[in-house]
Amino acid sequence: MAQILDGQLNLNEAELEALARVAKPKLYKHTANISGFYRSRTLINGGNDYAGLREYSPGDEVRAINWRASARSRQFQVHQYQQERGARWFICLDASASMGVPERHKWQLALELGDAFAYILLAGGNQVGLVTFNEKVHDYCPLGPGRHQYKKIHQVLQQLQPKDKGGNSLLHSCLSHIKQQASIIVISDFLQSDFMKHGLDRFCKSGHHLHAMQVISQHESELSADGLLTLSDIETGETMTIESTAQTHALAEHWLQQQSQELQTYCSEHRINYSFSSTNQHWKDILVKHISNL
Amino acid sequence: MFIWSSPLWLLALAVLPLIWWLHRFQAQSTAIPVSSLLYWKSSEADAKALKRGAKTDPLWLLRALIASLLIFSAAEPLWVENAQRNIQVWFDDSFSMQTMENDTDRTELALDELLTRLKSLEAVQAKIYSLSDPVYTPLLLETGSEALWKNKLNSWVKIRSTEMFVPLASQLPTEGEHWLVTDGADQELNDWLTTSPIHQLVQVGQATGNSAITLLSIRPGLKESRIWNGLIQLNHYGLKPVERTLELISGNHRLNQWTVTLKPEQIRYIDFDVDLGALPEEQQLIVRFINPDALPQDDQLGLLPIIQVPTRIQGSCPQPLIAAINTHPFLNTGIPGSSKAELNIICGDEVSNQQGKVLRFHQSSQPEKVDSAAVWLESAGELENLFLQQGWLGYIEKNHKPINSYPVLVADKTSLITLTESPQRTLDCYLDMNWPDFIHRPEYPVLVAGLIDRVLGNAILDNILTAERVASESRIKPLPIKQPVSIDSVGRSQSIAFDFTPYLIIVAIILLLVDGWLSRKKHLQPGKIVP
Repeated sequence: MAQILDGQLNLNEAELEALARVAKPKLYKHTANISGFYRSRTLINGGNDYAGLREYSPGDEVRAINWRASARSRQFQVHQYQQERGARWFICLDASASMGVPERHKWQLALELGDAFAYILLAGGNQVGLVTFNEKVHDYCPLGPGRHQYKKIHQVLQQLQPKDKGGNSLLHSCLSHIKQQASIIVISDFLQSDFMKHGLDRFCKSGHHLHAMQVISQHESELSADGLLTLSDIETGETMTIESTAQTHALAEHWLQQQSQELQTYCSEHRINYSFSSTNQHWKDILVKHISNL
Repeated sequence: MFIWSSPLWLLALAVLPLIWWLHRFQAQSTAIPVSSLLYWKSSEADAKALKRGAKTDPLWLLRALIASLLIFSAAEPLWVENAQRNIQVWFDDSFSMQTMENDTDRTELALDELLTRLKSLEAVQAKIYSLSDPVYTPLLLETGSEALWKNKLNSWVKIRSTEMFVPLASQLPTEGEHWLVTDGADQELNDWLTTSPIHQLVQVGQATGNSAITLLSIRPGLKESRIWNGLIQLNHYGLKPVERTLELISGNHRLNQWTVTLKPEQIRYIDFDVDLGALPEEQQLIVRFINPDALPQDDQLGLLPIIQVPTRIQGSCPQPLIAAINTHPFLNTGIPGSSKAELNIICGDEVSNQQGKVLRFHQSSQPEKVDSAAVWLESAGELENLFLQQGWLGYIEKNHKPINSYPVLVADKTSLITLTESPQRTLDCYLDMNWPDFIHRPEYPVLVAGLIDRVLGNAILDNILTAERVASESRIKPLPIKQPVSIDSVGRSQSIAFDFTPYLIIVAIILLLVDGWLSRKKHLQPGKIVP
């Protein structure tokens, strides 16, 4: 893909390219294994299967190697038969107010993950769509392949901001825009009393395959001062007075871990690919880890 | 000695509890946004119970310290040496310093204020100078109690009705500091203040309204010598018009009374006639306001009307001369022998053994005709206007020439009239006052009256008696004083050993930087949205 990365989403394209190359076979296998998903071959140039040779990349099947051509060029060459119409993927990004709190890096990381996923999936020949949501769908990018689609998704993400305050994270609101079966990547902090279980259930029952990327700030359970403090829920506006101490922070940290654990258990029970990501991690590491666990 | 230069600033320390209060309750009143309250639920506690034991942001101590340092620096802490302060006090002892302010005059108020200020200093040597008399010995105050200083000041101060003698700034002693004590009513003194290195100003007085009798004048009436014409001049200064009643008295007799309305800055004249012949002798003629005002010293003027000059005639005077003397309206020739005569008219060479001035007409049985033109000399005064033709006059040869005399009327080389100043003012007339060609001339009584005026030194036929005072001295309103910039600061610096102010400011700035650094560090901590 051409250089189109700029603004607040300034990902390294070389890294994305390399990651896409590595991830392509893995994602291909993953989608192939998922029941109900299909791969189709669309004919290039009016129905001819064969599209030429290309350089070998890790993940390519050995049987696709053209040994004679490889010997001539002293590099492995594989037959290129088709442009994959590929699998359908939707990225559902939580743009509720909680994604901007307690630090901006949390939102930045969520954007980076969404953007990188879109790049990798589109580079792998998949069709990718984007739905951003809070208490309702905020932005919707219909499914599409290729570079043009990535531009659209990137542009939406580039301009996207979480809500200042108020609102909610209603994942199931995205369902109305996802008509066909697809793989759904949900990027959210899942900071709900039921860790958005209701929305996840609805998606599962609709036959979609889910990926849950939980994005949490490393400072989520920290406060700026000690003593008596008033906390305000950025979404509900509800306030609460606590005494900020080391013990208070430890309790909050414990709750977060417990909640993540519950979410992880729920995901494994429902064959949802779950990843925990913190703002002290790099998006690339999170993606590599997630893809390698597929 | 440690002192605060502006101690009122220390009152600002009262805001320190406010700083604590702001830190104590700001933390509670500002809600910190969090992504969810769920994970804090377990820490929720009884807010009221927590508020009671809540801790205040410890940064309040640092900020209170900064505020305290700034307040202390504004109060200017000084370490002052106990060295003796040398103060030159320039005291305005002009006429207006007698103005009454309630029950006390300005001089007393000024002395009290000066004394208070001097005694408030640790060690001081003060030298008080008079501004109205440059040769008046200054008063030195160095040791002693306040009561002693006050007695010294009271006995030293003398109010004078003269112009001010303000020294040039370059003539002021360079050592020590200079103070000025004044009521601010004199513009010249105020101007001097702005150009002189005066360190401290002691100003007293607030009264503004004052009326003054600035002139009383009488002269003989033209129609009748007993009736004299008089003139009174009134000046009023102040902000409001006033109604004043004044009276003209002689002894216990009230001769006249007027009620006048005087506007601010108005000069008003009152003319009157008075029959001096009906008044008791040697009694002053006085004009005065009945009710005193803020400055009673200018509410009265008086003069002694000299109606007739006591005159004694000795010797055998020719009849025409006797007649001329008797027709003079202001000579009293009927005084008793024991009374003192102001004028002795002697006919002949007899020597006067009386006090008073002498007009001597020399006599001889063989007078000679004056055959040269009679010429008045400079010492003749007004008599030089009297033309005496040589053909009218006869003269008497001198038997002796008076010592130290100088000629008044001469004919060629002959002195016809001479004047001697000592031991008695004596006018010797060598004209024959019985000369037939002269005794019928109208110039004859004029010459006699002129000689009387000349020996008395006063034109008593046109006698104007005046008593007056300088009107501007009656201005008592304190004028705006433009104080020099250096006032009250240079003098202090002479005794300052150490000024802590800059060091306090430097420490406060350093602490401010530390506070900024701590605040930023705290601000960057998680738990707050960082844009």
